[in-house]
Amino acid sequence: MITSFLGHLHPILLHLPIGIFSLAFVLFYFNPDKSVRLSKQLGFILLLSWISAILSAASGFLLNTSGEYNEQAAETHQWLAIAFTILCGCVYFLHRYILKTNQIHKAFQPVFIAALIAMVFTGHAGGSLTHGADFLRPQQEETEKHVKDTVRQMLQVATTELPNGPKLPVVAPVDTALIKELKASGFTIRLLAEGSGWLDVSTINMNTLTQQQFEQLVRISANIYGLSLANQQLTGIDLKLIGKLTQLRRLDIRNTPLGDSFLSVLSNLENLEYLNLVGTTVSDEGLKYIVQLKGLRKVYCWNSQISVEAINNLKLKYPQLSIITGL
Amino acid sequence: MEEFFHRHFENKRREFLKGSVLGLGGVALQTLMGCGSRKPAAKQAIAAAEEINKPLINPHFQPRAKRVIYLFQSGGPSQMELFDYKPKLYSMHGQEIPPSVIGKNRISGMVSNQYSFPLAMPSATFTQHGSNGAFFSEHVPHIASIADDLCIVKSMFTEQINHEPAVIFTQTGHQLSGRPCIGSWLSYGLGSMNENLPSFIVMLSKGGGDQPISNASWSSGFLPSHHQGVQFMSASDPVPYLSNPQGIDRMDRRRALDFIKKMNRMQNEVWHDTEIESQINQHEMAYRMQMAIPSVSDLSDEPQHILDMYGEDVKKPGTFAYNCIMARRLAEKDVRFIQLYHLGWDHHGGLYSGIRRATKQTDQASAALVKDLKQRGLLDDTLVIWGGEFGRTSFSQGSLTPEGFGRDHHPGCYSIWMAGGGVKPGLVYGETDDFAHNVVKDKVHVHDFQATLMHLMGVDHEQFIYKTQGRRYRLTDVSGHVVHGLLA
Repeated sequence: MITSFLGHLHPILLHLPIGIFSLAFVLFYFNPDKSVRLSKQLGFILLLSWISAILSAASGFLLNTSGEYNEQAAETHQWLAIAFTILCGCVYFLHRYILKTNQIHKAFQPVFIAALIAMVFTGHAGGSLTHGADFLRPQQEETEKHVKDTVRQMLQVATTELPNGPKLPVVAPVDTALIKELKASGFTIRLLAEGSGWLDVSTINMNTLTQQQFEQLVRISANIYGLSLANQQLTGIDLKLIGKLTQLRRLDIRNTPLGDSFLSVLSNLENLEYLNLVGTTVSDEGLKYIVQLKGLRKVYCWNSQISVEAINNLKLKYPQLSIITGL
Repeated sequence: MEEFFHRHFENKRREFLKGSVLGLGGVALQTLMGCGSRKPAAKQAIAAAEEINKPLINPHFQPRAKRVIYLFQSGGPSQMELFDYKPKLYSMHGQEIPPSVIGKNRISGMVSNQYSFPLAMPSATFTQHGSNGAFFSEHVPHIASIADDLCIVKSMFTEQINHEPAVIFTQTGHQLSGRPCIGSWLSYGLGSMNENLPSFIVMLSKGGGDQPISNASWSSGFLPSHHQGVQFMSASDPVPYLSNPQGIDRMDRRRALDFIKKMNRMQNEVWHDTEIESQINQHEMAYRMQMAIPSVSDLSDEPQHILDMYGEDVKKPGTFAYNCIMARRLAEKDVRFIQLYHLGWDHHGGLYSGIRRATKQTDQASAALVKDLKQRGLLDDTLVIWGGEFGRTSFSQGSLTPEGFGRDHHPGCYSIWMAGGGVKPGLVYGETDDFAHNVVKDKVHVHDFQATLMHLMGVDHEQFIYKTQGRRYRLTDVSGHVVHGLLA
């Protein structure tokens, strides 16, 4: 308990030797009054810096026992701090020797400078430990790097999302708070893949879809890859909004009462590839809307009102379109 | 004298009981003193494990399949009698299998006393079907009719030669029980799509055979236990106790569950045991299933022509056909992993009649399931798998008689098929030698199959791991490669 408390004093204590030792260094080299170099006051400052270095190193050692830090980086910082503390002590004793002999020992200045270098490296190692190695990098460069990384990640997603399949364009992810909100209103929403902005939306867990709930989907219209309204009664719902989901690739309205008039609202959905009309009231009349959907590849129309003749005609006219009926 | 011995025995018995009670009391006291609650270190360890063992929630990449229906044919279906046509077996019927073919392959203990290994011709004739001209035996006419939708793998092989370890190996990636099965991994990793039904449901068909199957095959192993397969009963009421007892209404149940949940949460505050959370999840799921299951299991809304498609057994609860239509209905409800087990493929003897019985029970319904999913637009994102744990030998087990011969277990090669869910339709993958004994092209190990399955579900099998007892585990253990040749 007490060791933990003392360890947590390290962020305060570590600044003392930095400040005090720097002050001693400035006084020794940059004070116009050279008599300070041989003064007892400088000796006292050096003593303070040594004591504070010992306290700082000791508290740092205790803090490191918590195991919260990167082991290797912490070890580097620890040994640099020990070196600085020893050098600090050497500087103090060499200065005492100066006071006694009234002349500067030839080892004093190299040790003094070495201690300063050790202090700088110790401080940097400590900063890297807590703030990360990139902490000193200019913010602009950091932002640029972040953008580059993000784009690279997004591109990676775009190329790995569909192995052996068509590529999807990159879309910006939807705010997680918004997804949470929509989930809370009953929608089942899943990311198509980790890191992707594409969403798969289903009403499987909703007893009844209301107009108010349905309208919320417009807020994520640019991200909806697939939408399933299967088995919903959809009474009193104005489905024109589906026309706004222009990025939609898959639409499943199986076992709903929707019919030909609904298909007319799909004309904007140029990206639609999969359309499930199983168990709907769509008839031959609705086929004219289906053929307008240029991206469409698969239509399921078993158990709908579409006649066999109409389907056969459609197959002849649009051989690239896969039309699946009852088997 | 007799009384003396009786007393002596009584004394000894009393002393033993007294000593035992004291000993147990000591242990209990030690336990009471030692663990009022878990120590902070233990809590930290649990928290650290939870940090490592996070479910995926989202797939690693876009999945080709959202659901899996695994029609497991337990017992080891004979590849020569079904999908792997070998004309040489007819011409060499009765001759010894060349020793060079057997090589150093493992044979089971059941033929260890056998000194003659006469080749046995298949019990069926084969014809070609589909646009790729794939061979199917006369035993599977319905499956043959969907040839263009199937991806047949003739080059599967396993390491296990006996049923239990082979089934466990196929389902969990390891021959010993205790690890999670495929369904549990997916339930844990990707979660449930329908909050009112379990994400992993198991159905065993009755009337198949007497080869037992262990529930370790649908165990969640070291994963939280609410990810284990929920086994439906082979009865008209697949889930018992759906209706409330007399005098208890739904709100009473709700109140009771809420109180139990509150108590469980209090215990969890003290013990931090993941199994308490699993218990809460299981109670809640059971409550929601009370509402959801009746609509799934009620086949009265199925048109007659659909029922006919599955075959005459479809209305008999617990049959393979019934379970197949149930599987389709559960897939419509977005259940993630539906596993059927059909027993009755272990034909050590009486192969001719056995294979006919097994295929009669499964052929029509298997094909109907694929057709039904396809016409409903569900085959696109539902992966259907049909296969067992190993194959069978091309030589006869025991003496070769016209009707009574059988085939022994054979791990060296066997056939499975898949449909939908991102596999290449109309494909026959891999080749075996002239005796259907060794794979000669495109070998697919069980771990490769599992890696491919995971890939189709959008999961990188090498990244999806769970750390427990000091090591990281994954379904494919330390091997397995995605078979890209199988992907559409």
